[in-house]
Amino acid sequence: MEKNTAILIAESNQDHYQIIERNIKRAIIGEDIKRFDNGRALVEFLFTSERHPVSCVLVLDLDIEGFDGLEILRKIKSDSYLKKMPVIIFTAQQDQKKIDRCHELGCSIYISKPQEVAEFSDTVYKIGRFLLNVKVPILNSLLEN
Amino acid sequence: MDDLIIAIAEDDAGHFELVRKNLWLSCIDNEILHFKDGQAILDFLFQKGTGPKRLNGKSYIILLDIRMPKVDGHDVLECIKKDPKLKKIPVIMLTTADDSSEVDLCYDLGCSFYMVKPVDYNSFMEAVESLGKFLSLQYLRVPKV
Repeated sequence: MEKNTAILIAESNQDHYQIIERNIKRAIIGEDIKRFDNGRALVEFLFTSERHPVSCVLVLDLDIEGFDGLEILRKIKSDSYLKKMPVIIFTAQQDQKKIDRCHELGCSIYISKPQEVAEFSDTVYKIGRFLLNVKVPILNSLLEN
Repeated sequence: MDDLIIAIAEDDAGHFELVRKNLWLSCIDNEILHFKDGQAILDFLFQKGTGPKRLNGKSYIILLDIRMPKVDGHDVLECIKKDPKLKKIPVIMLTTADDSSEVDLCYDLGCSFYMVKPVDYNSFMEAVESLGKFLSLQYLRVPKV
């Protein structure tokens, strides 16, 4: 992952967010992490091109408040620039139809949230270590010219 | 995920062995399938040709090289992501091509992640190990196709 990649975390649950942030930081030292505790703020951020970073990965909880998580995914994957952004669904929802729908819409991967804190931490840490070895695309439409 | 089948499209036998061994070292004991060119994996997925054919109702994840004989990784990726059923299969590019236009193209075509095979052995091992630990997460949810 390049140095100027931001990790966007869309998570309304404060406790979950703290564990996610702590373990991403443990896995990937020095990364820029941005939190969105509601879906509306995330959508505004992503769809205002002067504000979003050059490259980013989104970790999205389908239970995000204030906006349907599936709809956020759909909007991102329908946008000709944003669609390249990897979206990791990390959510308590485990309905098979939702899992299928997220993959149809183009999520990168779907991971259900463990109930137990140590497993939750370990899962996030492994996601982080994996992302260290991933190349992330450049999104900024201004750079296309 | 125990019943997840890992399909690896890789024409270099040495690279395939390295990947297989390092996945195993990170406790992957899932079934691993090997395809030596793009046509072979397409025939498998689309249940055509004279070789092995995909069974319905299984979960797959694909590790896909770009430079392969007969059909290259871009075309394989595009075919998979255009099919309404197979598009749900996560595809992780695993390639020597380390070039931002390649990265962009593959994400644009719908890959889940893009990993560059490092040139030195130790970095290669670490990258595959992080991939293995990620794929062995019991909380990974991959649709059946």
